This record gives sequence, structure tokens and C-alpha cells, in this order.
Amino acid sequence: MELDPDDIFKDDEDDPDSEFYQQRESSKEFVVYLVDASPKMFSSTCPSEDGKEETHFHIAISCIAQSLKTQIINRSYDEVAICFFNTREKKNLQDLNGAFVFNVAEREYLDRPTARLIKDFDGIEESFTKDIGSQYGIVSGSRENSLYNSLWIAQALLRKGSAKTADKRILLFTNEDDPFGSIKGVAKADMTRTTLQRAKDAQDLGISIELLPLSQSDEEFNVSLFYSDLIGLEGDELAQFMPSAGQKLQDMKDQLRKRMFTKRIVRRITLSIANGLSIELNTYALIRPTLPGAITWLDSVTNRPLKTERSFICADTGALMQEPAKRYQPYKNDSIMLSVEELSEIKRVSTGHLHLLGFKPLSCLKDYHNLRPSTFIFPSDKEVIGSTCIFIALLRSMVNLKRFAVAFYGSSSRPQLVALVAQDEIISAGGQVEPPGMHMIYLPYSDDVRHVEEIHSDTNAGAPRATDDHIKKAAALIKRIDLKDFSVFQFANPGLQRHYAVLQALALDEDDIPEINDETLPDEEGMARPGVVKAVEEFKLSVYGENYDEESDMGNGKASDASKKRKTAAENAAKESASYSWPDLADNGQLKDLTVTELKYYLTAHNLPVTGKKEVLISRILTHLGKSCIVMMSISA
Amino acid sequence: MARNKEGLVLLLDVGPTMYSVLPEIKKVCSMLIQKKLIYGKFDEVGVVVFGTQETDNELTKEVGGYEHVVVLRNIKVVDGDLVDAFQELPRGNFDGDYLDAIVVGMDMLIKKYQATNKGKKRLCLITNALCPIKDSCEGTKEDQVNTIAAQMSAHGMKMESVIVRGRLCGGGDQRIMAENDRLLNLFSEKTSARAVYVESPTALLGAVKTRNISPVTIFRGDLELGSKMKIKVWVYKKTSEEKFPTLKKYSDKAPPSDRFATHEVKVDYEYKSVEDPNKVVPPEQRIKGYRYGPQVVPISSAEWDAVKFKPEKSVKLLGFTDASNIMRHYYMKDVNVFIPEPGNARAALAVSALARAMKEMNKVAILRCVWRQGQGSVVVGVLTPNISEKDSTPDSFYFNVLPFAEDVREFQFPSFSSFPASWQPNEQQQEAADNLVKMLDLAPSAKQEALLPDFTPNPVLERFYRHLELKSKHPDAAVPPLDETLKTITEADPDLLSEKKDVIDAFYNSFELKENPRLKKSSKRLLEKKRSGSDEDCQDTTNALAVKPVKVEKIGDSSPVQDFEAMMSRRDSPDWVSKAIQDMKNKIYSLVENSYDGGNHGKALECLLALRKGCILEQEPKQFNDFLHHLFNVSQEKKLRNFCESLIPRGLTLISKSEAIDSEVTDDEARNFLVKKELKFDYTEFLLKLSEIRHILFMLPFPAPTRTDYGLDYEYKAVTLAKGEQFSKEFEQLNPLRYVPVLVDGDVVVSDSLAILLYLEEKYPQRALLPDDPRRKALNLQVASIVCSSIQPLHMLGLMKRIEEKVGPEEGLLWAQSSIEKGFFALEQLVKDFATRFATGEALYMADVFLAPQIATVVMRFNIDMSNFPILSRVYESYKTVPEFRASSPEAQPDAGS
Repeated sequence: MELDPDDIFKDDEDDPDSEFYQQRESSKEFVVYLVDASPKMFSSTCPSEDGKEETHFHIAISCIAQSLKTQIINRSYDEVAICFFNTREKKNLQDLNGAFVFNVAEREYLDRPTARLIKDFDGIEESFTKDIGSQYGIVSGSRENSLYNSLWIAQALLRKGSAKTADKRILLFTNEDDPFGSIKGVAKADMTRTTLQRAKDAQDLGISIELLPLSQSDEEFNVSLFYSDLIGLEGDELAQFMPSAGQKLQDMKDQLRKRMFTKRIVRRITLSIANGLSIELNTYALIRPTLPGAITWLDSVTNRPLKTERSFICADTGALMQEPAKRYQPYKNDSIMLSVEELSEIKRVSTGHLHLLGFKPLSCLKDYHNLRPSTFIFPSDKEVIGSTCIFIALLRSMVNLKRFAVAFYGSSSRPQLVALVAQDEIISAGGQVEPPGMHMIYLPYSDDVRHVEEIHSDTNAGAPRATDDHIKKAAALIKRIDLKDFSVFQFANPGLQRHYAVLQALALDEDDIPEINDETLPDEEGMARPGVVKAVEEFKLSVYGENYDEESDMGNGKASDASKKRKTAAENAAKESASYSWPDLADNGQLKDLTVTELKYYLTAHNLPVTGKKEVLISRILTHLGKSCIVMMSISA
Repeated sequence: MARNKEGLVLLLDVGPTMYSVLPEIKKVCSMLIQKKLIYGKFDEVGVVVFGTQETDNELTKEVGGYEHVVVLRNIKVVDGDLVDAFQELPRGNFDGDYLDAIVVGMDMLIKKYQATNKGKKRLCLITNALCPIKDSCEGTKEDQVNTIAAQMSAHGMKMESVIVRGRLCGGGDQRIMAENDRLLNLFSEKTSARAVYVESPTALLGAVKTRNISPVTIFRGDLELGSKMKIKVWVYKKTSEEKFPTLKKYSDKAPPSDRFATHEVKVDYEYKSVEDPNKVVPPEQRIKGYRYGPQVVPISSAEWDAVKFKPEKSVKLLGFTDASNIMRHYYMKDVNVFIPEPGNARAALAVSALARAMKEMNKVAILRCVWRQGQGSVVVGVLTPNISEKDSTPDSFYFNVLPFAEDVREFQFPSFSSFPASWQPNEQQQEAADNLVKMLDLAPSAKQEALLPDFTPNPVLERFYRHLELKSKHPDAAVPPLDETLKTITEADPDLLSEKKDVIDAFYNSFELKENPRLKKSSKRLLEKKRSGSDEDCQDTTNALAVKPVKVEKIGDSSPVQDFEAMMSRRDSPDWVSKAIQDMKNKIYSLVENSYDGGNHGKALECLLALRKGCILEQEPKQFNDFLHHLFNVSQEKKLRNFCESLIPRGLTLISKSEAIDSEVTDDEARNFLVKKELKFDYTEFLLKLSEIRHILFMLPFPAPTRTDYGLDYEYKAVTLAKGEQFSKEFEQLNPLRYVPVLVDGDVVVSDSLAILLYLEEKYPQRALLPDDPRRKALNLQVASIVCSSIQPLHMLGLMKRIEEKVGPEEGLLWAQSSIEKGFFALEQLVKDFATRFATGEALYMADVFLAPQIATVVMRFNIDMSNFPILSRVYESYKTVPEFRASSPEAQPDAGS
């Protein structure tokens, strides 16, 4: 594949083809959302983030909507169905009462989410009462059991596909902790029994049922009344299950989003310790840069997908050839030929496993000993019994003695020295914060480390060093601007969020692209607090002295020269650009007759990027002039 | 002058105390030049050696002095000859004066470049700095250094000193070492010089920067502390992965006669409609589509530019936080370094104050960075202080990128406390682990930290460039084995392991590992097992035979024997039999191959038995016989000899004529198949011992010829040369020359190894040591003769003693090394067209019998760098796989160490 030259998210150093960044095609997930639509869901409220009261129904709906939007980007091959129960109208294949399966055109009940589904679902609250309607489905004197019906429908929907290739789940939203509370006696026992049996049957088929209970502000959802039996909670789990009362909407959404990821083993490897003693480990990628989805090239005229065909042409003879098996490297006026096998043999300096080399104190692991995201390792007893025991023993020793292990990881792409840093489990009220295990940190080799600090050493005078007073002022400043509960991944990536927002807006034909909130901007308000300002001023005074003017600061002579040059160039371009009639040129298709330099006048004058081939420049000008339009298309799945 | 052209002078100490590390120095210098040949073809390099007897430099002619410094090569553009020049690095016998060498090097640089090439002139000194420098007539040594350093700064030169210490230099006068250290560090203070100390061969290989990359800033501008204060900083990359070179594709289409052929391959892309493959779309008509569920949304780059996220270029402080809040494993990428704007004292002061305060308070800063205008993304990262230890270097910060919320996958893992008790280590086990973690220490306080990333070379790249160099000389050269020194990177250091053997053993004995018996799928991975549990497995598979599944279509992992038999018995298509046989072969092969300590052997044997039975039943003897031969060869190569041994008791041999009429194998041949191989090895062992030069073998009551089926019995008697036993009366009767070895066979007495072997060849022809082909036979005799007469005698102890007495103490070793290298070059040439697994082919012949001990001896005693002899090295590696050779290597002799 040709690489996208101006892919904004790619760092120059990242090689998207490297094995390391490739994500495997994951197995699918089938989800049925069961939403209680009883009047109680509409009457109960809890406070939302901005202080307004929101109905439980709204919470459930926005939760699903949010999750669909995430899903369509991250895991668009997953299939979903949405089914309301305790409804007035009925719509389902089984024609059962009190249950309504929500769907849109060109889509099966259980199918991949589409832009239309998301759009229509966003508007469901307005149309709900008219089209679907809410009513209690389980009432005394009637044999109807809407909960039972909905479980049955969900199970039928999930009959599709094999349990081996797909995860099947039912997510149940309700605020009724005792669905059979309104009936009594034998009828109640009977309905309870049959409903539980229905749930158990589904679970036996490999379908997991998860409950998302909604508590009212005055009364907590009591899981033990009925649902603990339905989802099979026991003992401690029961106590831990119910999150604190008045759970926030945000928590719910987070909970859902977290569940979007299924845990996957990247590789099974062994760690050989010594004397042929080897233990079994699984590696997991806990942290990897998230990139926007892959690009599909389309024909801009028809909007149909294109396939890329690669052909190899001999530069000397012009003959078409097969992909050559030999590579060459110019060396000493000669071309040294190497076969692909030879190259992989060169790289094979060790088996593809971890070899323990020894241990070092944690202080030996410097901040600059890093190259790539770390990999998490966790023991497994699947094949070699006893691995976990050894792993735990080593982990505890390493944590207690504050040491890390140095090992050699002989992967086929880049065999490398790694540091194994032991991590104890950290648990907070919300659950596991850090799992127990070791993190494999990829260490640089000597030629990967650069000694840039020393380039600008001043040997005559020695580098300026802060005095105690300077340090004291700096310390005061640090105390002032302290992020107390900073958590590493509290920010969403604004570039990525914007990308998704644009896609969503275009796909759903929305006019406005929603502004995304850049969480990474500094807290201006906090920075402007008098205490902070004072600390900054004092530090500044201390290190810069009085009457310090930043703009006229010395030292940057060269750079300002360059920027001056740039400025003149820009002014010149603006002048030149003004002498052309751009819209006319564009309308008459004469842009291609201009030289690249001429085209660049326009681009520079309008602050647009000047990189790329002539065609790119022209199309950039056209877009800027508003002469091209966005076309939408759809591919049947 | 090209902008990035570097002028480098290597200053190498070759004095007597440096001998032990010269091979490493050769390696690292060759590597440096090899990389320059690719990445810096216009760089110019000069080489100066010091500590030599001779003196050859311009300064000595002009002003006198500067003795024992030889300019090996004047500064000129790098070329292939330079790589070779290091192979013949002279050995000096004087104590080198590194200061003289530095001055000579500076003089060369100044004369060559005058005032040009500022900042691109580099001196690289490698020495152990054990010898004192000469006193100066004017001023103290410190004054001298100061003057030189000032000159260096004035000419914009840089210096890098690699000082070899610790176990590499064997120790010396503490006072002198301290003085030299002080002087060399004075350079670091006074000019842009860097002194590094290395204590292991690996570190030496990593200590010299073999590739020079001019650093480029990724950001220059303000570090904003709120709107009120800004610090001017420059940001560089601190670490960046040096990639394996991307090789070009080679086209062989051009006729060989075309001397101007580029052999390049152009890759062309065509874009075709998926529906209509005949329709080609021009590249500019393409548009990017992004997936949104089942839809694809087309967006052109220009549209994208208009709507995408466009943050302003800036580096802003978000705040400070406790260092413990940022766990080490959240670092996402290669590392950047923030240095205060050069020449801006206030910025340096501000950075220094912040860095030191952060260090004291154990805080880190969180930043939001947009490096370039127009960059479509931001990064959030952590700034950590980097307090400079050198006065001349300003304090700086390291910057690591942190993950965004989208980048973290919150998988849940079970708590260790929730695991069953059997998975929890008990107190004694925990103690064993504690000891292991404590004792297997790579950074003991007394020694230099081992495997420090900053000094660890990349073994893959090292191997690549060495291979490239080999191929430039011999286009058919095989990939060389990983350099011995570099093995300490990929495998645990054997010295450390043997030193801490008791701790490791205790750890080993505290835990028990076993294969999971319920495991259905046998994994392809190597499974090293402590105690073989494979018997159980075999039991399972044989028991399972009773139950027959229907319609088996391939051989699975759980019950291969059963599957095989089921497939063989299928009659619905004639193809099943051949498919079954083929599948079974693959299965056996993978079982054998993937078994480390014989874990899968039991299973493999069961399969092999079943295959044999099946092949007899279906009258396919050739299939089986060929496979068995193949398996045999493979297991020999892969050191799986115990697998072959285990065949014998089970009667797993070739299928003979009497079993299957199509077989070309007679009953006898079949019977001898296994036995013969055994015999070969015993005999080889004997021969190898025989030719072991340091020892004598005598008084050999040869067995009756009937017993030769089982190998030759012999009595081994050692004569220790160092003790002078060869001068005993008893021995003199046998061999008047008093050379070893001597063979006594009944009443026949033969001395001289070559004669012994020829005698044995005649008398015991059942294992020929000379091939039938006259050409190969001559080759074998030539090798034997070269070893016997042109190499071995020239490094005999007596001769060396003599040379040392007559010429000089260091001359003995030098003499031996040069004779050996000369001989080895000849041997390398001689066998290059014949050597495959062994020196003259696939089997062990007389040449090998002489070569094996010869190479072992010289590598051990004379520190010969075998990487110059790729073929010999390779063959030598093969010898090591012959168990008998290992048994007969000098160290393994009964009298070793005496």
C-alpha cells in the first residue's frame, strides 16, 4: 500500500507497517440492548452533570447512543440490536407482547450499526410515546411477562453466528429492582422461576447477561431482590456489584466504553530464567496509540472503492517482473546482494522468547531509556503448571527490593533488550487501577541514544546554575501549580475526537461539525489566580532579573533572520498573488497552466500548506476557493 | 566541503597491556568504518596507533619527540582498505603516551582542515590509560592538558575518550590511573570532550559512537508557564531507534554484460475499480475514504485541511504533579530533551532552577505540546529533570509522551490473591526468589553496571554490517554466527551464572514446573520442562486408540497416532494414504523440532512407530526410509542426538526387503542403520582425542578386530607438557623426539599424529578418514599437512619460550599469532569451495580431525579473532555440535587443569 503522505496522526518515526502497530482483526461482538421502558423509567430522575434532573430512560438512551457512536468507529463489525420492553406497541419476530425491537431501514434487527440507526436513535425520545409507548408489562392478574418475553427475543436474535467467533451479550437497563413486586403468591413464584430459567438457558448458550441498574436518589437499586439470581452473583460479588447510590451518567458511559474492549493476548511467550527453567507468559498491549481508522481509496468520480495493484518494473530493461527475492545494499562501489532469508537469519540472534539476563536497581532505569509503548506481561499456567507461582515470587521480590529485570526479547522484527518492571496491583474504590504484572519496557541501544545535551556546552564560562534562592522560588511555584490527582490518561485526544466528529457529521449529513472540547488546554482560570500569578512573578524576577524584555532577548539571532526571510517571502507572495484572477483561472481550468511557483503564491498568501505535487496544490486551491464539493457514498455491507 | 562531512582521527593504544582488548577494538573500528561506507561515504578518517616500537609521524620530524606514535593512515576518505587495515593492527611493545597521540591527531586535523570544518572534527581515543604520560619540560601535566584543550576548543574539535578498565585491563598502578583519569576528565571540563569508562568487551563495542547523526531540533520556542512567563527552549530527540537499513529491491533482468546496469526495481501502483478491473483510475482522481460503520465517507485532503483540528504551535505547562503519579510504563515513545536556548543565560538559569526544584521535591511537570504550526495533533507528556553533572553542560529536561484516554485499554486482570494457594509462593520459595533477584545483580556496587543501554551495541546491526563486509569479499559467504562478545547481550552471562550457581540451583529446586496434562492442543512453542512428563502423554494416546473417530481428515495435535490410522484406513479415496503419510511426517518433524529437552520425544517415537507400521502395511518403504534418513540428519544438526539414541531400543530402523518387497534396503543394512551411526561417533571421539596436541596417548592394547563393531577401546594416558613429563625415560623409549602423541598398537609404535592417522586408516578401514575422491583426499592431506607442519610447530611452547628468551617477552605471542593467522588464511582459501558442514564436506574427515583441536587451542591460548575466518568459524561451530568433540576438547580431558 502506498503510504498516506500527509496523514496527520503519523509521527515521522512511526512505521505503520511494522508488526508492532498492527492491530489484529478482532473477533466480533453481538450485543442486544434491553431497555426497560416502563413508566417508572420516565418518572424517576437523577441529577445530571450540569445539575439538571434527567429521567432514567434518557440516561439509558444517551448511554446507548454514545456507545453506538464509539462502536461504529472502533468496532464497526460488531452487531447490535435494541429492544425496549414494557411497551405499549409490540414489534418482534416472535410477536410477543410488551416488547419492541427498534430498527431502521436497510438493516436487520441484529446488524452492524449504521449512520441512520445512530441518527434515528438520537431522535427516539421525541417519537417514543407516539410510536412505541410505555406501559407496565407485568401486572397482577395477567400472565404476561414482558421481561421473560424480552429475554426470549434477545436470545432469539443472538442465535445468529457461532459462540466461538462472537461474544454474545445482553445489556439490560432497568430501574425496577423487583419486577414481580406487583404480583403475589404462586403466580409470582412461577413467573420468577420461569424468567430465571429463561436467563439460565441463554447463559448456557454462551450469552452473557449484564445488568446496568439505575438507582433513584432516595432508594438504591436492590440487586439481591431478584437480579442477583438472574445474573448469577454470589457473596462478595454481590456486595461489590452495586456501585454507590446516585451513580452519575458519566460513570455509566465510561463503564460502557470500557467494556468495548475485549482482552486479547498479543503473544504467548516464555521467559527462560536459568538452567533451562522457563515459565509461560502472555503479553498484552495495554497502551497503544489509537489511530483513526484505515483509509479506503475511492474513485472521486463514482465514489466506488479502488484496489491498488502493485507492479515491479526493472529500471534497466523496463521489463515487468515478479516481486524480486533479492535485496541489495550499495557498499564500497559495489552492490551487495542479500536474500530475504539471509536478512531474517541476520535478525535471528535469539529465539523469539525472553531470556533473563539479571536484575538492576530501579534507579538504573533512566527516564530516557524508552523507545516505544510498553507491553504488559501476565503469567499463565495453561501449558506449564507452576509458571504463575514463579512469576508471583519474582514479582514480589522485585517490588520489595526495588529492582527490575533486564532481559533479551528476541522478537523477529527487532530483537531488543528490555526492562521488566514489576507492578503491584493497585485498587481504588472504582476497581482495579493497575493490574498486577510486569511491564516490558523496550530499551535503546547505544547508537539509539544521542548526547544532545552536550552539543551546546559552553566550555569557557560553564553553564549557569541556579542558586538556592532560585530553587526556592521555583519550588514555591511548583507548589502553587500542583495537579493533585493527576491521572495519566485523563485527556481525550483532541485531534482524534475532531476526526471522529467530522466523520460523524459528514456521514449523518449534519450541517455543523460539532466543536470538540480540547481538554488538553491549560487551566487559564487557575493560572490566573493571584497566588499563582504572584509565584510566577517572583520566580521570573528571581531568574530573569528586573526590566526583562522577552521579545528582545538575545541569543536567537539566526532564527530571527530566518523568520524575517519567511516574512518577506510571505509579503512578496501576497503581492504576487494579487496580480492573478484566481476564481477565473479556476473556473476555466487554467490553474494547471500555471507553474508550481505561481500556485504557491496563492497558497502562501492564504496561509495554506505548500507541500505536495502540482495536482495536490491545485485541488487545495480549488477547495479553498470553494469550487469542489463533498460527496457522500455508501457501500452495502 | 560538504556540510555534514566529518573528519575523524582514531587514536588507538596498542601497547602491551592492550593486547587482550585489541580484537574488540578491531571490531568496533571496523564497524565504524563499515557504517561510514554506507551513511558517510565522504567522511574522512585517519588512524594513529601509539605504544609502538616504531615512530612515524610528522611532528617527530618537525619538532622531535612524539616517539612510539605511528600514523597508520593519513586522513582521507573512507574506503574498503581501511576496514582491512584494522585486521593488521600492529601490536606495540611500549607504554603508550596518549597525550602525545592526541597532539599528533590534532596536528593532523589542523593541517588537513585548517580553520574549516568547525564542529566536524573529532578525535576518538581508545586506551586503558594505565601508563603515565611523560613529564613536560614546561609546566605541570595539568598545564599541558589545559593548553591542548584550549587549542582543541579554538579549532572546534571534539574528543571522545574510551578508557578501558575493570576486568579488561587487569589492573595497574592506582596512582597512575588516578592521575590519568584526572587529566582525561580535565579535557571534559575544558573542551567538548567526553570520557567514558568501560569494563566489559560488550561495553567497549558500544562505547564508540559508530554513526554520527547531526541533531535537528523539533521545536524552538517558548516553554510557557502560564501567560506571564516563558522560557526559551530547544527540543531535540534524545533517543531514536537506529533502524535496520532498508534495502533496495534487486532486478536481475539486465544482461550480465551490461556494466552500467543499475539493477534497480521501480514499483508502480495502479488503481483499479473493484467492480471493473479493466478500469484504471489516475492517481489524482482518487479520494480518501474513511470508514464509518458500513459506510465509507470520502474526504479530500484539502477538505480535510479545512476542517481538521488545528492547534497553535506552542508548548504549555499544565501543572506539576508528584513523580509517583506517572508510572514508568506509561511512557509512549522515544524521548525528547528540552535544553535551554543556547547562549541564553537566563533561560539556562530558569531551566536549572525548575529542574533542581523538581528534583528536590520529586515532582514532574505535565506539558501540552504542539511542535509545529499546522501539525494536526497535540501531545501531552511529562517533563522530568535532568541535572547535569558536568559544569559546562546546562541542566535540561527529558520529555516523554503520555497516553491519551483513547490509547489506554483497561483490561481487568485477576488479583494474585484470588489465585489458588498452589499458585502462591510459600515462604521458602519467596526467599529463593529474593536471593535470585538480589544476587543475579547486573549493577553491583564494586563494578560498572553491565548492559547499560548507553553502552550496549545493537547485535543485529553489528551482524548485518559484518556480513556485508564478508560478502563484499566473498559473495557467497554465509551469515556469520553472532559475535561471541555480543552473546552476553542475548543470553545470560555464563560467568555470572556460574558465579551464582548455588543461588540459581536453590531457586531451581524450590519450584516445580510441569506440563499441563489436560492440555489439548500441543503448542508449537518450545516447552522446556524440568521433569519429563511425556510418558503420561504417550499413555493417553495409546489408550485413546481404542476409540475410533469417523472420517478423520487431518492429523490433529491431541491424538496423532489415532488420526493417522484412521486416515490410512479410509478407503473413499486413494489420496488419503499419501496425505496421511505426509501429514504424519510433518507432525513428527514438528514434534522433534519443537522439543527442547526431549519433552515431545516420547510422542514423536509413538508416531514414528505408527508411521513405520503404516508404511509396511501400505508397502511404501521408500517413503519411510527416506524420511528416517532425513530425520537422522536433522536431529544430528539440531543437537537432538538423544532422539536418535532412543530409536534403538524400540527397533525403529529402516524398512528392509523382507518387510516390504519394494525396499532397497537389505536386512543387514537395516539392522546396522542405527548401529553404524553410533560407531562413527565413538571412532571419531577416539581420533579426536588422539590428535589432541597437548596430550599424549600411549600404551594402547587394541581390541580384537571382532570387537570393532562397538568402537575402538583405547587407553588414554596424558603427559603434561608443563611438568616436563615428555622427558621421562619411559617416554623416550617410545618416541626419541619426545614429541606427542604416540600410538602403541600391540608391538607397533607410531609417533607423529599424521603418521598415526595414516596407520589407522590402513589398518582399520571400517571408518575411512580419507574420502575416495582423489581431489578431496588430496585436500584432506593438504589440510592435515598445513596444520602439522606450517601452523602447529610454530606455536609450540618450546619455540615460544625460545623466542621470548632471545627476542623479547612479547615476541613469543606475536610470533605465534602471526604464524597462526597466516596458516588460517591459507586454510580458509583452501577449503572455501568444499566446506559445507565440515571442512571438506558433510562428513568428518581427516582435515577435521586436525582442524578441530587446532582451532580450539589457538582460540583459547592465543586470542585469535576468528571472525576473520568465516568458513573456519562456521566449521568450528559444527564441530561443537559433535558431542565427541566436546568430550575431547582440551578442557574436558581427564587431566585438564593440571
